Order: sequence, then structure tokens, then C-alpha cells
Amino acid sequence: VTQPIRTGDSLADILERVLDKGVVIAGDVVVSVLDVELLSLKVRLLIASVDTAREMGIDWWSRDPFLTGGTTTALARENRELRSTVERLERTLAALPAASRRERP
Amino acid sequence: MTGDSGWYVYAVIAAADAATVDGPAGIDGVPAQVLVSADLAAVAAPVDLAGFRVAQARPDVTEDGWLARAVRGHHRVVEDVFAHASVLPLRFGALCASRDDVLLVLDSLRPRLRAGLGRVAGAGEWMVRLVGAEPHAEAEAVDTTNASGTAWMLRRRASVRAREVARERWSKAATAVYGTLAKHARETSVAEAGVRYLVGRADEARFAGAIQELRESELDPELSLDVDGPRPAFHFTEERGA
Repeated sequence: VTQPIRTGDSLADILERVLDKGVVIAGDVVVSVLDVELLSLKVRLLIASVDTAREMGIDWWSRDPFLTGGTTTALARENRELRSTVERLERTLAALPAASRRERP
Repeated sequence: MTGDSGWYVYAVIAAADAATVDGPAGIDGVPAQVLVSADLAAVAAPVDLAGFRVAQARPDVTEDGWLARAVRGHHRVVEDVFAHASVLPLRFGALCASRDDVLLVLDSLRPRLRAGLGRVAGAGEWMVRLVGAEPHAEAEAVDTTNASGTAWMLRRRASVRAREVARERWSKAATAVYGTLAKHARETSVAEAGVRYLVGRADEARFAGAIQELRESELDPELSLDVDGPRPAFHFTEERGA
């Protein structure tokens, strides 16, 4: 038996085989929930637009910590920054001359 | 099942092969069944239609979205059946209202389905691509900064010539590959990316041997063969001469 060779297992390959090829059955007994021609076209446009965006360097989602799972580290960093800002503000407040505090009613 | 369910049909096989199908998990993980009517059988399963409605309205093509999972489920069932029997794959989305309607599909389309199954019986499809120094314009973009008009013209001519040479080598190799492999195939189908061959399972060893020989011998050193197969004959299901 010849060993199968697999180089076409990507989602794009599978979509091409399954959405574009194969026997189409039609008639009264077929439920028309799905217009596969239209679905195939939509999928093609979606894939093309993702690829085009990447080619154009629009890949913000790959650096977005929320989308890439880097949420925890980003949040931790943000917390650290906020904490140091608060500390700085508190120090500034404490160092204010008594005169400026007296002006308040 | 609620009113919003139906029967999904994956593929058609010969009734004689019905026992080879061992309930492969398809869309939404539901195992596929075999519904026999005379000499043909449908590989089908009950499904919830909700996913299909959403996919039609707002297709989600992320790797783990419903559509990708459903498409993989369809592919998995057809591949699983193909491992043990001759299979006529249906395109994604063949839905019937009931189990009886699946049998009606077999009855009403019997001559066409029988002919389609006969065409791919005992065969699988192979995709062979020639990859490497494939000629394309972007590969040799001409740098026009700080170039005089003459230098620019010369560089541009050299680039065009290089592309022509690459194209000639590519088409020469492609012709040789096709000539060698087509001899072992029942049918061929030329696509933009490469050539698909419908190869009888009895000829697979010879076909694979020919690929091996091409790889080892006369093929252009800058080009290589990218091979995938055997698979269910998805690309040899369309009516010919239609």
C-alpha cells in the first residue's frame, strides 16, 4: 500500500475542496438553508481581505495583547504604571507649600 | 429534535460498501450513518440547522469558528469513508428535511450518482505542484533609486530576461512532469496551482514511483515537486461535457 502524502491540510485547502468541489444535489427534497455558492464567495472574500490586510502591514491584531492572549502581562504593566503615577501625585501633594494649602476654604 | 433540524448528506457510496462505514464523527460531532436504497447508499447524519443559518448570514472563517469546524467535519467523514471504500463526495451543505428525503435524493438522482461513483470508483486524486523558481514579477523588483535612465533600462531588461528564462525552465519541467505522471492516471485536471491526477488505487505504487524518479533525476535542480494524495476525488465529480 502506498503511504499517503499530506501537504494540503490547511483550512484554505479544505475549504477549496469542500466548498467548491463535490457533487451538488438540488431539488424539492433539499432544504435551502444554505446557498453554498454565496457562502463560498463570502468565505473567499473574507480570507482574501485578511491576507490583503497582512500584505499591507495591517496586522494590529497580532500585536493586540487582548487578542493574542498577552492580556495578563499588559494589565500587570498598566497596573504598575498607574501605581507609580499615584505615588508620584501623592508625593507632589505632600510637598506642596503650606501657603497653597491654606488658600483652600 | 426540534423543527429546526434536518439530515446532512456527506457522500454517496455503493450499497455493497455500506458495512465499511464505521460511524465517523461529522458536523457537531454527530456520527454519520449509512442509508441504503437499492444499489446506492448515502452517508448522512441528523443535524441542527442553526449553525448553517448563522454561517450563511455571517460566515466565521477563524480556525475554530463553527464553519471551519463543520467544513473539517465534512472533510473528515469523506476521508474516513474513502479509507475503506469508493466514495462520491458531496459539496458542503447538502441538507434534507428528513431521513426519508435522503433516500428520495438517492432515488431521484440515481443514474447521475451511479455514473459519478463509477467514474471515481477505486481511485483517488493527487495534487502535484511544481515549486521553486516559479516566475513572478515581484521577485525581481527593480531598484530605481539613484539610477540613470540607461542603467535603469539595462537592469530592467536583464530582469525581464531572467524572468523569461525562469518561465521557460518552469514550463519545460512542468511538461516533463505531466508527461510522466499522466501515463499512470485515469484523468487529469489542470489547475492554476498544479495538476490533479485521478489515479486508480491499483496504479498508486507506479504513480508514486514515477514521482520518486522525477525527484531523483531529470527535474530542474531549482524546482521541486509538492505532492498531496491520495484523497477522495473531490475534483473529479463535476459532470463532463456539461
